Amino acid sequence: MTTLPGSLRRAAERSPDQAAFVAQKRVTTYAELCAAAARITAGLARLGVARGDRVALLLDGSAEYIAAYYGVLGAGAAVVPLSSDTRTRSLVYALSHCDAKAALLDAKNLQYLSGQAPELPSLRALIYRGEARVADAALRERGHFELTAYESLLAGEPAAVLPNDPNELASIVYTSGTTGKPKGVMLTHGNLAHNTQSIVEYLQLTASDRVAMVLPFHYAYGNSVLHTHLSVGATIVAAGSMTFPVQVLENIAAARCTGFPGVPSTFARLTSLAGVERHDLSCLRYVTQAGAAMTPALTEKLHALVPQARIFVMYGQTEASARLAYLPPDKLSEKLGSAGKAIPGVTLEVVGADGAPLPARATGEIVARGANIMRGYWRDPEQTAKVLRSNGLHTGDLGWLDEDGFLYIVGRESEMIKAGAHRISPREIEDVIEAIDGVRECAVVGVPDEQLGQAILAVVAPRDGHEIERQRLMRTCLEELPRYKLPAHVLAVPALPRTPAGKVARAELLELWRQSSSGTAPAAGGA
Amino acid sequence: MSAVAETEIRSYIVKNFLFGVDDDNVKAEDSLLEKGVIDSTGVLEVVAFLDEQFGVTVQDDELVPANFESIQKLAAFVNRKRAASA
Repeated sequence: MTTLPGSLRRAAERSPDQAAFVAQKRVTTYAELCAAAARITAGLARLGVARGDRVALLLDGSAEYIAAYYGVLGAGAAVVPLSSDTRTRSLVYALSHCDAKAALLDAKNLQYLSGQAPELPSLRALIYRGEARVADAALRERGHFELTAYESLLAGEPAAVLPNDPNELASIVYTSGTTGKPKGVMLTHGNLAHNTQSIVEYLQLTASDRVAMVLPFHYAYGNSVLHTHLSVGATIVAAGSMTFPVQVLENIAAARCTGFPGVPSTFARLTSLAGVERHDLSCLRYVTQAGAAMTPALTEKLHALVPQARIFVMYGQTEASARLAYLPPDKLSEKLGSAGKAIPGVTLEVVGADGAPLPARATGEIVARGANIMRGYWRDPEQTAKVLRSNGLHTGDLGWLDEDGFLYIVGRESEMIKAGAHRISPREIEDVIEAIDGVRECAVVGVPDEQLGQAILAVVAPRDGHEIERQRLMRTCLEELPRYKLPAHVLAVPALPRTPAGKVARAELLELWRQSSSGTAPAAGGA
Repeated sequence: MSAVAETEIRSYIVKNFLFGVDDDNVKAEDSLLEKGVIDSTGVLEVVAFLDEQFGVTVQDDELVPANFESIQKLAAFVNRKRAASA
């Protein structure tokens, strides 16, 4: 098993002048990327970073991020990727929790560490990107922190890179659960390398692929897109932000991208754009979807938009490095709504409360085994023991397998609505509402109800130029759903609130609901 | 007219995205995206606001940084659209 730094070096040896990363016409070749990573490895050693240390990385979306990621791995340290949209509380929590020895970040983000030295005894080296005067102004109370400019880190001689052991810790990825503090998912070199290889295999990635990147780099999904494409010598194209979808489409067409990974909201946005068919997307060979379940209605819209592309519906978890299952594109129609089968090297089971596998079509918890499953949560043996059990990783996701072994995900255990005696999955209701003409996206959650414990709230965003007509929506629901699954409340919003990872922010839906019931809803018209 | 639109847009942004905290940190020409004031969901709320407040309907191909990057660009966009429909 070749670890990630080894794969990158091989790609660079094969095609040194091939573009590894393109952002706004600035090209970073494989040779340049490898050289920068080796210089960063040496630079970190000069700053006292040793094998086994943790180094935080907050340079999302850039060539520097990729070089630094591989540079940290080369030093035998573990990368802790964090959002560059940060604040003191979350930043200091993560840096302190993982005992980071160094951090690479934008100069302006140093402000969130001002005066925080006492909380961060292990953190000494702060490597900033940007102007020295901005860094000086941002970090007013320095304490024991030592500032180094990113350019100076690159200035020395490159290090002779030593191979990584597959059992060595490569990364700690923080995931926010539905409750409690973020947990640090520990991934080894072996975890990442195995998952990378499996994904490359089923997506059939080659050096001639050009992937349009709109995902954040620091989450499991974006992270896997980076490593899989770099390991085969493909090109990663920064395609812009989904805030401006037309620009993304133009970038895909201009760069003749062959691949486009997104989350359901990415595709909901694109398929609802007026005039989207005017853009030439014939270059796309594959489109991948993960991050949350995509409704069959949206899958069909996406297929209509890019009929020539192979659409990969995928399922995974940060705890599994990224990927657990995928639906082969030729099964998309036949098994519409399924998350597919286990990826190469992974075994999936659906188990009951006693841990024993359930028969076909019985709903239970999805349990996974494979070389991609995390080592555990950093400094959290209690949570680790809850999910890593003798039969594998307990995902906390509920699902069932059909007679052919295809997985259907019903929902997160914690997202189930308990109304009266019923346990209701939001998914089925969301599917029905999203299929209604004029609806762009919908999220269903339980809201407190005196009688039932929880009542069903549907938060609905219309397509551009449409309005949500409550009566019509409810009529359709009544046609498609048993009465106990009808939403008690419908709230129209311009767009669903989302986490930085693109998932629906369910807690915020409740907040929107509270505001609207007390008469202070922001833009809750139409219902 | 331009100044009016800019003032209204600023107060909307401050109320809805900065929760009333206007510490002059966001200047008229600052990138609302780079500053992390507005994300992709936020932009759609701004689109709804422009419609309600100014009667300006945003076409999908007008949803570009040239029109939405900053308070200044938003105001200029509103004024262009209003002038065109006047």
